[in-house]
Amino acid sequence: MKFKDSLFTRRRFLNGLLGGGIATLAASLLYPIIKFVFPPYQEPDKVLLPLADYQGLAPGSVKGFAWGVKPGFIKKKADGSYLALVGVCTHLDCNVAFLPDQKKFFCACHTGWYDENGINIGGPPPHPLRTLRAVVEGENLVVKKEGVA
Amino acid sequence: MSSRNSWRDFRGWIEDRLGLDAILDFLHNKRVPQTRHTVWMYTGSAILLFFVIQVITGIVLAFYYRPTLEEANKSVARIMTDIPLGWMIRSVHFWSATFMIAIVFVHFLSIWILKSYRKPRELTWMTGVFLLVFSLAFGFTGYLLPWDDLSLSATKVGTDIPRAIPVVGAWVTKLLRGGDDVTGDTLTRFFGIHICVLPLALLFFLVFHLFLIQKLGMSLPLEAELKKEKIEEIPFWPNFVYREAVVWLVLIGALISLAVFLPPSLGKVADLMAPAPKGIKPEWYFLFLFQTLKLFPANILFITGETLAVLLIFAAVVLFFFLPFIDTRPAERRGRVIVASAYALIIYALAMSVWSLLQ
Amino acid sequence: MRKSRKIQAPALLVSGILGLSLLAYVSGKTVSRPIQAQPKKQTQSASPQAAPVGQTQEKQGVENTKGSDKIVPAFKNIRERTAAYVFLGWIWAAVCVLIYILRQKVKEVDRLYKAKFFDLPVSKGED
Repeated sequence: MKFKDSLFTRRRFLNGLLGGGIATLAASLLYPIIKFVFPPYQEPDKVLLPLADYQGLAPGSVKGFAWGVKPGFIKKKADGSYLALVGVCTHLDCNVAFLPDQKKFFCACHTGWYDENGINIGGPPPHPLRTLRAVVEGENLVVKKEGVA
Repeated sequence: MSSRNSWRDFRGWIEDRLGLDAILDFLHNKRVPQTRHTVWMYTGSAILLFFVIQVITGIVLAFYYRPTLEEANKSVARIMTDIPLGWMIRSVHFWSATFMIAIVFVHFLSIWILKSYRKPRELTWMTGVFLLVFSLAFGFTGYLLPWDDLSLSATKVGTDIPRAIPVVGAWVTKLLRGGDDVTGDTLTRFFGIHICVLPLALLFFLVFHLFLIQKLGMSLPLEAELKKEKIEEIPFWPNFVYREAVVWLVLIGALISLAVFLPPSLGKVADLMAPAPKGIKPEWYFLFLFQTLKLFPANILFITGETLAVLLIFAAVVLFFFLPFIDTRPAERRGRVIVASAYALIIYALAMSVWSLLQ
Repeated sequence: MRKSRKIQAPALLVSGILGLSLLAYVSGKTVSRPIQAQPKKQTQSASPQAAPVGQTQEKQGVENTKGSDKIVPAFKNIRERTAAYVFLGWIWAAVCVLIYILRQKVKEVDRLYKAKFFDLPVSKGED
């Protein structure tokens, strides 16, 4: 029985409370499941590479390294410093290859081209390859994310 | 209000195509007798609740678990340390298994004592025995999956027991182990059984079991049937279900409390070459069987004690299975002996379990 | 509804037995749980501790027993322990509220049944 001035009947109120309560409990129980199913991001903060492996690189040449689970490329610049790139195509995430004779990065999935500094120059890739910072620290070549100390 | 009308329209749309109102009407009309034994009727849905929890937590755990000899223990360690709240999901899965099997035992014993398997419910009982065996098999196969020293030893012992069965024993052990010994093949085999074979088998028998229950209605206790008294009844939906929901809520609360404060630990990786760790024990639901096995002497006449024990247990299971056909005169002496044997089993199992724990 | 009193005795007995056996089992496990060596080491990968909601940090502790790894779950800090208590408190609060609402619903629905509200064809179920 609904009074003229009330929004709903007592039965509907009780049903609403029950439904709301069940929804709340279900959400509280589902929260750990959701957190479990979405694990935290797995990219490393930094990667330490033995400097000896990269010291001998001729300027302009490129060598690979592992950036977490993705491929990375270290290029020795003309002034002796290092450029680090994440070797994942910015189009649809395929791994790119470095073609030394052409001095370009090539993505075989959709024929994407990047120049030797990772700038996208041909094909569908919308952005340049992601850069990382590579600094020499003692015996190590330390590769870090951009913007991280 | 328009939201109510649109809800009614939606229900009408579904009804025109699926005719599900027939199910709702059936549930509205289904009656649950209110006697002093009604409390045992809450066990069935409680088992279902924990089974659903097991399926959900199990699926989600299987996202990270790796069922190979090299990675099993590591992946469980990763679940417990790396993945957010992994320890809790694993803990819920572990405790829900205990709750489910405990309530399965209560359910089974209550049906036995109340003789709900009387005509026409014999098939319901027999499918139920299958469900009991599957529940225990779930526990047994799941126990190996973390691949730590304790679970390896427990599985070695557990899969050795069927070997004592004459004629087919060695073959059963080989089938379970994937060879003569417990190896990485046993692990992958148990994993496949745990997440695929047993769920399918259990679902099949469960659907059959539930269908029979709906078809045949709720049973009445023996004395009520004999005296033909008029029993007060309530509708299953919504009256009984709301009462069941209260029980579910308490059980969920208890489960989460135990899961948060007593999560299971993970032993070190199983080493196939290492000697058995001291104090190995199966899970609590096998303790009384384990202790019974220990009681038998090594040899009795021309057969090994183990063979005799296994045959006795097997015979007991067969007797359980055919109980509705054995208990043909439930109100007379034979019927009372069968009820008394249920109580005897409860006391025996409790005593054996406690003894096993204290050893 | 008065008849429900008769079911209380066996129900209490069984839940008492189950509860006590569970208590015995649980206390057995807690007593026999290996004592954690100090300090506890964590097996964490290089992944950043990016837990936006602090409560999600799970508990772990690695204990070296005789040179092998046994993982015994334990709270890392008081924050985790408090988070667990808060979560449990919230769940039980929700459960108690829901049980209260359900009891009201049971009373309502029993009253309706006795008043033959659900019988067809006058009305089709609860509105």
